[in-house]
Amino acid sequence: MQTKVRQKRWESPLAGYLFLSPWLLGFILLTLGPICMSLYYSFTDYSLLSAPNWVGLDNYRKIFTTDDTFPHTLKITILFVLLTVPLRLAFALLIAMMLNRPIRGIAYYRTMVYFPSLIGTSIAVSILWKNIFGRNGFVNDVLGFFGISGKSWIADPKYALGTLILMMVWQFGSSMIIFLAGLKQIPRDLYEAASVDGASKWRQFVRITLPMLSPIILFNAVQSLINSFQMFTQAFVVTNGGPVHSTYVYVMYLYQTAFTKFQMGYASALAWILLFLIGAFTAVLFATSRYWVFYETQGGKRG
Amino acid sequence: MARKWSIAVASLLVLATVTACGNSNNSKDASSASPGASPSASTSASPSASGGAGEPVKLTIAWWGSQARHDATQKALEQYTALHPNVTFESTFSGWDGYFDKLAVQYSAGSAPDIIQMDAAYVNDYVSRGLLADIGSINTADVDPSLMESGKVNGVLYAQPLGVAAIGMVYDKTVVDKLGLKAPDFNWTWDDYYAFGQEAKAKLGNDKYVYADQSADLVDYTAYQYSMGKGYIYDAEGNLAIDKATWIEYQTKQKELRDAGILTPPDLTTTDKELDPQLDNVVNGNAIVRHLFSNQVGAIDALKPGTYEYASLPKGSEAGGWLKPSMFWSVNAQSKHQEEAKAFIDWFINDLEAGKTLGLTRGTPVSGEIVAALSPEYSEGDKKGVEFMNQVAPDAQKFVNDPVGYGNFKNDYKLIVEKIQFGSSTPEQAYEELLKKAGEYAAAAAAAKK
Repeated sequence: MQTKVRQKRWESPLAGYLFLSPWLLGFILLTLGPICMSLYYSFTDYSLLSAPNWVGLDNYRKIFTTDDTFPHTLKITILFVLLTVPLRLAFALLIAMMLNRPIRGIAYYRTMVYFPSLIGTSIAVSILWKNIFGRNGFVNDVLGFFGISGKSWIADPKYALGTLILMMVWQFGSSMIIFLAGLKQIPRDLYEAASVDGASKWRQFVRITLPMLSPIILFNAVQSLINSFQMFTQAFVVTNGGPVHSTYVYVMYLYQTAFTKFQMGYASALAWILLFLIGAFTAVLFATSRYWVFYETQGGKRG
Repeated sequence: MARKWSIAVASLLVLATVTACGNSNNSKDASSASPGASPSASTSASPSASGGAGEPVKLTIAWWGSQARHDATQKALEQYTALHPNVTFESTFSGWDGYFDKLAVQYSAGSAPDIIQMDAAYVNDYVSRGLLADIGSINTADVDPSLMESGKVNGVLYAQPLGVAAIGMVYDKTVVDKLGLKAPDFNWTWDDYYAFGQEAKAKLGNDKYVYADQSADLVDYTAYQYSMGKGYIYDAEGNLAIDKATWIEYQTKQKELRDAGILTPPDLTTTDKELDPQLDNVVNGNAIVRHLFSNQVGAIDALKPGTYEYASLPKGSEAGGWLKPSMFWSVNAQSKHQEEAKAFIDWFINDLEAGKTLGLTRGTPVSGEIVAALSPEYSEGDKKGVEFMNQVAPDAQKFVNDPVGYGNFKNDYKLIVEKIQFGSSTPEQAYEELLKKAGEYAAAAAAAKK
């Protein structure tokens, strides 16, 4: 009996794989292949310009024992992630709540608010950002109007990372759209019932909106987490990792090791460490989710 | 679990894409092979200097530089195609930033250009990896033999010098005149340099500075060590030979100047970008003096015509400046068209018409004959550039290409000195850090030689 069922399930595997083939080919050639190559390179001294030699765990040993830049860049990256993710989520949720109200021309506002995200990570925006936050940039002009003498936001080690965080937070659009969709899913009668019972707006937010939205918060948190760990364009274009390496985030270090210093093997090892790091952070986030994420389908129980 | 893995896999993919983007974003690709000469038009065999006359050949060529250089080079390529209709070009040009990053990736993909503009910092690195072709057959009878040495490794020519440039300084003459100061000249000493700084600062006021802070540029210290009579910063074996006392003295002095507001403050220094109309601290008026190579005279003069005058680097017991080959052409060892590439380089350095088109865009041409032919036609800017070079030339220090493995050292050097600029390190601490870094480079270089 069982064999028969199995046979039926695998009736025509070929057709299935054929239908899958565009994706499958792309996956094997563009994703799986490079992943395997980079794993192999991480155990070699590959330099881009000459053939790789096997060096075993040497790269990893060096990273964890003698490399001074690694702990520094790790610290900056984690600080960046821990500040960016919550700020970005809070901001996205706030805007989503504002755009979830029935006012005239709301579609127009939504489009306009989402706009920065369309051009979000591009080089052009980074260059614009660089000018806005420069010593004689727009931000300081505005501050000057109010009699405040502004700092050099991207050229001072004290503020540069903060400026980049602000830039990441500003690109909240995709999280915002997902929040907006989530907000629309929440049944209105919950709010009606609550207001009949005399619950304040704040209480409604804490007791209804947040719990009902928690699966979406989790999803957005994971997305933002991964995004922020891999932040590169902004650091590369706006500050180029400087001043004094104050914005020298992990991927920036990885890039320079690979393409400026020609240590592709070492950079591959760094990339694998980043992969495990992101995996670990994501796993922790998932582990905590059972304490704060509610799934309606499970009868309002924690997931 | 599956989800976690898919996220992880996806993240790696994103990572890869991000990295790839980063690499290409810095170069302004602009391939404009001369439109008139399509391969089909080249069927009529022409007397080509290369072996394969008549055979359509497409040479890829890459260089970095300013707009003036791009324009002149494009024009020269068109001229060459007109002479040799079978040879067309696909050119890629960009600014200096990212040029060598991109080149390395192209090499690893086997798609590096046939003809490559090379820098003295990387000649030894590239030759040691066997990436450049022997181009000894190029006719260099008209080039100063001592200059040719800079393109050779172990006696074999791998890089053809294209021009000569001297290092010196540029100052904003309009400001110096307005303040009634005695201008720097080609004989000024370090004492004059400090005195000029004090005087100018007193007249400039608070938010203007005298010197663009270039203490994080290895070039400036190289000049200082030379001027103090302590020799070159690398010894004959290619090890770093920065003199401890001299270095600490230099950085301490620079720090005093910075604290006194004579050098630009660190936040201005870090955003400084040479010859950028808005970011260059001398061009945008934040400071009045900075170092400059003589082949950049045309570029800075074009930004604000008639504003700038030039001086040498300050002298100590010896002169500080030197002459260097501004850049080279090299031929890719992986190229299938090495003969054609060499023929082109030969024409590029020896042909009078090419020389006229190119002018001084790569420094003073290497061929004595071309210089003689060009000099009556020099523009005002050209004349200043040549004068600048001739002033530095008599007591110029020896120029040596960076040793194998040290092509990238200047970037780490910059970071270490930036810490002093921002006050998070002292010259003494920075020197220790420098030694440590140099040790890493020496170890890597030794490993590469094995």
